[in-house]
Parts: sequence; structure tokens; C-alpha cells
Amino acid sequence: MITVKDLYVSYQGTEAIQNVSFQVNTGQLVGIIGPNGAGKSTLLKALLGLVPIDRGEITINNKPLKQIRRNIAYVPQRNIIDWDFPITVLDTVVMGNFPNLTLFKRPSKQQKAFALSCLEKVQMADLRHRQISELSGGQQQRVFLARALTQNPDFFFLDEPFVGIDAASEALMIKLLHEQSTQGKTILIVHHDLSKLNSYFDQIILLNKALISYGAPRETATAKHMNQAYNGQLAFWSESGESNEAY
Amino acid sequence: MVSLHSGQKAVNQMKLINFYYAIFEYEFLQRALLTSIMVGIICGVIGCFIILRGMSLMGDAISHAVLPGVALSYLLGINIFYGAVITGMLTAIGIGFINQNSRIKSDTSIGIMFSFAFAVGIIFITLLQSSSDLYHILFGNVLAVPKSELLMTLMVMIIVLLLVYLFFKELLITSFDPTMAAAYGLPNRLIHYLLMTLLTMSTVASLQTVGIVLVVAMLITPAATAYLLTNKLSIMLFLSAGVGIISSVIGLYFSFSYNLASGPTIVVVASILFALAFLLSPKHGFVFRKINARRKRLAFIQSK
Repeated sequence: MITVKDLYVSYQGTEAIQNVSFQVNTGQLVGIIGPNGAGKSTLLKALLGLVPIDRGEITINNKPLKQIRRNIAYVPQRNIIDWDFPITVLDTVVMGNFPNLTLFKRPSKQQKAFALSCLEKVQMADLRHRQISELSGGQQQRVFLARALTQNPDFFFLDEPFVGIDAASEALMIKLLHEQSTQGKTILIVHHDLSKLNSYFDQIILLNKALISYGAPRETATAKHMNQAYNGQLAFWSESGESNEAY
Repeated sequence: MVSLHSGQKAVNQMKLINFYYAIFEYEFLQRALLTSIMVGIICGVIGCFIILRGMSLMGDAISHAVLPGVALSYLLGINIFYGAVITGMLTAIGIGFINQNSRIKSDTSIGIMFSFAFAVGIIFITLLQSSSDLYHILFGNVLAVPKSELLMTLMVMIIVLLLVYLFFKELLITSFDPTMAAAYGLPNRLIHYLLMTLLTMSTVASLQTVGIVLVVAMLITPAATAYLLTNKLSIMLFLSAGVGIISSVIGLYFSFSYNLASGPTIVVVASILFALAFLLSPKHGFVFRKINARRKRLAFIQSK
């Protein structure tokens, strides 16, 4: 359970998050939606303790963040990774074990085998000896999901995981994330694409600096709320939340 | 023409044989050889993390910033190690402070801080009125390594290798994905300053061998060479150390045989090794890249 109370965060001198409160129950798959500059990534970073918060309170499973951060797997935006780093696919995934290891400890044989099994789940085991720049965007993102699975956490935070990847990779990833959520894992995804909101998410956090609406996609992504969040930039918005046009 | 050529060859062979026997004969040369090998290892290993973190300029800065500390240590009559580490670290902290507390970008703050430290260092040394010391500090004089310096280099090597071994996991993830590292609670900034400390120590250890001005080459050139040859960080560390050792030993030979400053000869050898890797590396080399691109283009044309 993630509880956020009266959260204010400023980022580089401007207020990015204003007075946001919500509670995410265990096992939910939640999308964080909103226009560019709405503070979606900042919210995720605040939840990870990566940016200082001005006011408010964040607790996860009723504990302060510091006690639980090793139980959160984070999948960063793809563009912040140096893909030319001298590392293979499998070694990248093995890194998922690091948060569970104490100082001076190396991943064990079992942990490496577990990493390989996670790589099989994302259908990337064949390419395990490749250097990571030799993969397509979708394959790279699947490798990072495998790394998160290797960490075997109770919480997954993903920042724009589906940007610039192929449809097959996206479908496989969302299927695996649904599996995780049915196993009681809580998942937050910063998401850009407004199609398929209903089939992807249990809940939606609709954000534009302030919290516009929070709840099931059908109740949250209404025309009224969406216009409010996107300042009328959405040309067409069907209430089903299953189809949309450019904004 | 032929005889001149073979005559030259004979001279070169003589020089190599002389060098070989001189190693057994002269203690100063043994010390030089050992120091060079250790400096190759130290700089090769630290250099890998420097280039992977995009901190080559920082390496240059810290190596120059060591100068005032070295000069002050001479003035006060203490081991140069202490003074060098202090001014090196102060500069690293100063760069970080300007970075985080103004709109100045990091390359600019690095430029400001290290030229300042270097300038202060030169003034100190001028006050010492010893231009030969300055020359050796700047360009290295591996043939005059005293026993105390050899031991210091050994200590630095042990510390560097031990810390890199112990914190390999942390160094790997903070270099590759600092956001994930911070998200699970690693103290990124502490690790940065740990690396800066190791960098400063490596610089001091390399003073005698390559000199302040060229330390950066020992840090980044062997590491960059290794980077072109492998896709695994652990292998890159060994390759980089290996390239560092080969450069140091061959450079030492030329320095000894032709009476040249050791720093420049070592760096020229390292650069030639880099050029070979740049051209001929099987995966990342210039030549094979061109051939592969051409092959793909031809295949594409033929498929049409």
C-alpha cells in the first residue's frame, strides 16, 4: 500500500507537484497520466526518494520510504541509459540482484540462474551474451523489465516504459506486469499513450501538477477530467478510454 | 642503403640487449620498471571508471590540481602524498560545489578550478626556486624513483585494487545506472568522492613516472583502448591494466635507451596502442566497421 498525503515537490525552482494525495492498494496496476510537464516523472522520483519533497508525507506499507526502497524495482526512462556501456544482456539483468545483496556480497549461482529465468520470461534468453546496444528498443526495455523481475520486489515503478518500442514488446511487457499484479505486486507506470487505458490499468492517477482525478479508468478518464488535465488540447476524446486521437 | 639499414637494425638490437642486461645490473632501473608496471595497473583500473562515467576532463583536472599540494609538501618538508591528496580533494569538492550551486556547467567549473589550482602550484614552485624539480614533476623522471616512492606506489596499488574489488558491484551500478543505484539507497555522492580520492592517489603515484601533465593520458588512453576491445567491464579492467603495463615498459625502454623524458615516451606508446585498437578492433574498430557497413550495403543492393 502506497500512501501519499498533501505532497508538494518543486523541481529546479518551479512547483512540479502541488497538494497531491492518494492511496494505492496492494496488487493494483496504476497508470500515472497527464500532459507533458504535468509532474508525472517527478511524482515517481519523489516516491523513490530521488527528489527532495517540500511538504507532505509518503509512506509505503505504513513505513517511511527509506526502510522499503530496496523492495522497489525501478525501470528508468530508456534515454538516460548509456547503451554503449561494456555490459551484456545477462549481466544487466543480474544487476537486479544488487538491491538484495549486502555490501561486499556478489550474486550467487542461484541468483544468476534466477536472472536467466527472468530473461526467459521476457523472451530474451537467446540474446543473453549480446552487448546491450545490439538490441532494438523493445528488446532493451524487456531486458530492463527482466532486471526488475530479478529484484523480485513488492513494488514496480516504471517511467514511460512503452515509449518508442514495438507493439509485440509492449504487449508482452503488459502481460507480465498483469501477472505480477495478480500475484500481489503493486505497480506504478508513468504512461504517455492514452489508448488502452481501460485494458492496461486498474486505476489511473490523472495529474497536471495537482491531482485532477484518481480511480478506475472509466470514472477517471472522463471528457471533463481529461479536458481539465490537458487544458482542452485533446481534440477528440471518447469516454470509453479505449481510443483517442492526437493531442 | 641496405647496409645502412641493417646497421641501424643492429644498433637497435644492441639497445634492446643493453636494456635487458641493465635491468639486472642497475637497481634504479629495476625500481623504474616496477614503478612503471604498477602505475600502468593503477591508472588502467581507475581509468576504466573515469571514462565510463564521462569524467575524463575531471581526471585531467584532478591530476593538475595535485601540483600546489606537491609544492606545499616540498616547502613544509612532508611526504608529497599528503599535500597532493588534500589539494586534489579540495579541487574535486570545489568543482562539485560550483556545479550544484550555480548555473555554471560542469566542464566550465572544472576548467576554472583546475587552472586556478595549477596556477597556484606553479607560483609555489617558483618560490621554491627549483626549476629542475618543476620539470620532473610536470613531465616525470622514472629513472630517479627513490625507494620511498616505490613503496608509496605499491601502497596505492594495493589500496586501489582492494577497494575496486570490494566495491565492484557499487562502482558498476553507479557508473551504469546511477538512478537505480540512488533509488535503492546507494550513496552516489560518497562513491563519487571515493573515486575522486582514488583518482588523486593514482595521480600522486604516477607523478614520478609520467608527470602531472600527462597523467590523464595514462588514465584514459589504456582504458579507452580496452573499451574498444571488450563488452564486459571485468575484462575491460584487466585489458586496460595490461595496456597500461605494456605502454609503461616499452615507454621506459625508449626513455632509457634514447635519453628521453619517461612521461612522453610512455604516453606515445599508449597512444599508438590506442590507434591500433581504434583501427583494428574486431567489433568496434574503424576498419571492420567500414567493411561491415559496406557488406550490408552490398547485400541490400543485391537483394533488390
